[in-house]
Amino acid sequence: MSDNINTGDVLLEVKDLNVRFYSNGREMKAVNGVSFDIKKGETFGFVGESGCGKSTTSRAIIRLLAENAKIPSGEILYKGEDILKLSNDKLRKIRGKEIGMIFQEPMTALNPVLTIKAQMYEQFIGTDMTKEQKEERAIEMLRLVGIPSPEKRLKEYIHQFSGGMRQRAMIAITLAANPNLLIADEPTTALDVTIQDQIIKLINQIKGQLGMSVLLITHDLGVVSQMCDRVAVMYAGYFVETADTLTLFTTPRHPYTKGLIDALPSTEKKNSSLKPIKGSAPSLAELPEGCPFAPRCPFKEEICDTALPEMTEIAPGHMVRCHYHEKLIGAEGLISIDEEGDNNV
Amino acid sequence: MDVLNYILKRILQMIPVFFIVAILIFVLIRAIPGDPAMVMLGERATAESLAALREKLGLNESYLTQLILYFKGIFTLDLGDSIKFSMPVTDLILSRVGTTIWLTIMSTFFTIIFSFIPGYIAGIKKDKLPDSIIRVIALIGLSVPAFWIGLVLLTIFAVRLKILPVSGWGDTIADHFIGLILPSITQAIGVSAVLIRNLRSNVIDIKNSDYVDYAKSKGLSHLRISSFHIVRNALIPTTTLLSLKIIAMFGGSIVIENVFTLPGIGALLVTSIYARDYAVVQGIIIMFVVVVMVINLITDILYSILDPRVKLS
Repeated sequence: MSDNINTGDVLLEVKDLNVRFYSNGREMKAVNGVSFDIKKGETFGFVGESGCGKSTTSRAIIRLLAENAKIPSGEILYKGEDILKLSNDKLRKIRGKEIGMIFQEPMTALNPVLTIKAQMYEQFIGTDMTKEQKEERAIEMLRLVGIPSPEKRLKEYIHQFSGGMRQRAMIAITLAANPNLLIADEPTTALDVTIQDQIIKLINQIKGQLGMSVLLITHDLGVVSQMCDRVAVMYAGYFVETADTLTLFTTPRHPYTKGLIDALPSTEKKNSSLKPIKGSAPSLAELPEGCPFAPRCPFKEEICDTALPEMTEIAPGHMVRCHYHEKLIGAEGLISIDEEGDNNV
Repeated sequence: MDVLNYILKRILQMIPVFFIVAILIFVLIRAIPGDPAMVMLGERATAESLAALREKLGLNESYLTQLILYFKGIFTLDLGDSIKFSMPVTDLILSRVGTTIWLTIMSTFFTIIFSFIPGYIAGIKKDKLPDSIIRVIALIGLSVPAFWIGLVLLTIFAVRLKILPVSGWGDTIADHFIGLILPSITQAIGVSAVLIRNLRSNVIDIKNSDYVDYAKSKGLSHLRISSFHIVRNALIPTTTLLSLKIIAMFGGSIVIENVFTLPGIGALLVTSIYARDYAVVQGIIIMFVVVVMVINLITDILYSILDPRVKLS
């Protein structure tokens, strides 16, 4: 499925995107030469640790970056049109209606002093819906995400909802505008595990019903395995490996991906301790000249400190940024994935 | 009704507070050294007239009797007679309080004009030129005393340009309005400086908040985001501060009314203190207490409407 050549199926295509932040006279290379595409109906995942640029990349797609951010180069083609070149008015028509977004913490992402109804109705501004149609649609959305007694809850404020219901309410508001692409920025991170599972199932189910695409941002490989068709692993603002989910988990070819998978608790080897990746990610203001992962890499050679490896396609749809990706052949991921992909928590 | 219950409960809570403050006023007034009768009539007064005045003021009674009479007076709105003006204190206060209320209302109006828009602009344009200019002006407004600003405004607009009156408040409503412009601007300047700073920091917090990002991600217009998400939320804490400042401005009338010779409560209070007109002083302070309590109550109700997270309980 990943080697689909028909470009008519591509909803979003990002080419060589770079994002820089400027603070105190320092330049932070937050996103470096990122390229990917998202097809219709597909869930694409960004995985990586905090500060690796996954949120920044996703926000750049709708130009929702802080004031001190710049996009020096790159293209973000949505349905063939470059979002980076759009006027503010045209951008506003893409935001929400074409590309919707949900955030990690609904409690802070929804306005605390406006009702769910008021924030839902904002999605209908500019449409010629009547009052009755708006109300009908709002109730339908709350029902769709599984919020009980939607007529009553519509008039409530976000602080009156419980944790899981809050995330459902934000999903309902975002989806009320009927976007074709949903950017979900750590949608389950703030939730406890059982609620997390419900929200994952909900997004998967609604995605199927509405036929939209999802860009999922997470640091949790477990969530990736339950939701994503394809994944990009990010490190220090670079994509280091992209592949379909099954390939990534079974035959990771970048040492960082391998490290992430090895660091997961395993159900097979009950008594073994966790295997963290040693060291920490480099500062985005002082990226090394060569491979950004080199200082922590167990397979490091001389060239890794001096030359940045290119993103190389080693199999159809499987790209790796590593000089010595062959070294990982045979060093399969320690966990195996069954059909449902519910291998871990 | 939630709101009615809440108001009722708050009024009940206010009663003990009022009693305590009223007793405090009673004690403090009697703690002022000197014989009130002597001060009022002067040192050459005869013994008979002193005794007669003491009798009239009830100073010969025991403190307990005085206290009971004092509370009886408060609840029947009979606060005694003014010695200096020879009229009931209640009537005297009512004839003067309008000026002070209008002064406070106009001061509040100018405060809102001077602070809301600059505070918002400073917050939105943080660290840019408009912000720097507004902050410098606010700092000046904050550092310079109100009476001095009043005198400078008088010199410019009344003495030099002669477009506004030097003092007093005239006879017609139009005269009243014109007479209140300079005093209320004077009061508003210092207060606005405080509000600008408060609003600026609220706007800075909110414009970087998740919910403003979320509103942007929904494709809302700039105007809608500013008005429904930034300004509305930023004004919630500012409302509380403004209500405290309205109370302060009501009290600030003591200075302003004397600088601009306005016939308000503040000026009356100062005159009465000099004249040892205790009944009037007492009456004005009691009225101040009631005003402060009422403004606090209104603020709390308003706050619960603006911010649904505040429970009415």
